[in-house]
Amino acid sequence: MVIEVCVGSSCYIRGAPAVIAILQSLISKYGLEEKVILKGSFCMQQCTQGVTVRIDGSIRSGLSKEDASRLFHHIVLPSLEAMGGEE
Amino acid sequence: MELFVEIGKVQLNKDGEELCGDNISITRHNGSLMIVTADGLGSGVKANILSTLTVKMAATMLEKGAKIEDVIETMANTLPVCKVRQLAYSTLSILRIAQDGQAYLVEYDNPPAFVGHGSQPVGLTRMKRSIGDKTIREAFFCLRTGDWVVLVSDGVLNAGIGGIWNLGWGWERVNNYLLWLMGTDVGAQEAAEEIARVIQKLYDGRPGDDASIVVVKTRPPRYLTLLVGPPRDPAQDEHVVEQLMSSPGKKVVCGGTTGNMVGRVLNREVVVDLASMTRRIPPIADIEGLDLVTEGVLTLLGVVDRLRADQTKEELEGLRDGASRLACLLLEADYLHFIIGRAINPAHQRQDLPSNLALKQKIVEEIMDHLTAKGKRVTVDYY
Repeated sequence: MVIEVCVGSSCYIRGAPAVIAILQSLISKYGLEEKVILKGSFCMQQCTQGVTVRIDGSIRSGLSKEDASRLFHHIVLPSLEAMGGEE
Repeated sequence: MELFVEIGKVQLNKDGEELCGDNISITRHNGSLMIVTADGLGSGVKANILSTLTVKMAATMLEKGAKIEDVIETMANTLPVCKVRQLAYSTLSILRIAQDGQAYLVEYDNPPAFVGHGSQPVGLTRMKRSIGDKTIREAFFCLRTGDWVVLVSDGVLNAGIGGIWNLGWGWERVNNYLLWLMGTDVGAQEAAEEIARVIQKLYDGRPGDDASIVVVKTRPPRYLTLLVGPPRDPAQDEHVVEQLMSSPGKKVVCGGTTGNMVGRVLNREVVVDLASMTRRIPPIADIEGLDLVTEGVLTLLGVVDRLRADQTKEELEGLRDGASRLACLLLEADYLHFIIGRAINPAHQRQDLPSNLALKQKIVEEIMDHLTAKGKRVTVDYY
């Protein structure tokens, strides 16, 4: 799974570094470094929407710090489990 | 072939003096360069006034097209007369270099300039000419890549006098030293500082006279082209990328959207390097074939901060954040070309963002002003 966090000017000012830090710490907390690749990405053209991430191609905007951990627990973990189940 | 003239200078004050009696003026005018040095009679404030008047008068008059005769005559008639010595006197050297490398050297009572190419000496044919009761020496020559000229005041030749050297360092010995030093691949300012260190040593840390060194060195110019912002008309995207990629020297892209646009046009991946991120400066990215890709406005603001603080290339070298890297590249270059796209970024139109986001163009203009003030040639195209 690839999580891309936008680090364009707008997202950066609105808290992209904090979102990256939270995702990084959650990924290492759950030992998912092998399964989840966290990447930065330049502008995703959602500038007016707030911090934007792209998870396996689908875009989510307007993330706060709290949203970041919610996103991780409600979307990242379940879909990893689903993938694990398929294997 | 185009030529870039690099200049370094150092001045040492006579031991115990607050002011240097020597003066150096360096001016660039329409692509040509003029260096004027003068050594005023005596030392301290009196000598400083004489040499300041001399270089300012000479530089201003020559820039306005006056002849060297007029400059010498004006000097003789206007310099204040020293009460003690009943003399109005200052030495004078002028080195003028046109954009194509044509050089004109005038010397009046200064030590003859040192001229070389790498570690080889270059002999100049100097012609004597009398103006009133004064005799000047003139030389016309042409500078090629790798040539150098070093202008010094007599305090350099006299270094070590009565101590390490009975009669001082002397022209021949200085010349041999310079042939060795300039034969190594040393920058003009580094060379001037190295020479100053030797002089300090010869004077045992207490210079017996003011000493000035100007090192002039020619080399091929270092080019840099920077693309910031996508063009207002997306149909121009390919054209600006083509402009960037076909330019000589270093190639830099500023701006996330711009970086993505370049990646798309070139069909190359934009790989963000999260490790280069700092609290204030967003990460840089890598696109094959480009020397640096950074985020836009925040990084550019960081560059402005560094230029305002007058940080040097050496201080910034080795730092990983985008602003330091970009500032470092800008400071390294001699000829800079800015391609400024004026597409409107929706992110910058919001009320709740710091207002300087809307001022990207102002920021870039301030950066260009700083670089121009540092003697670099800066050109710009808007799209």
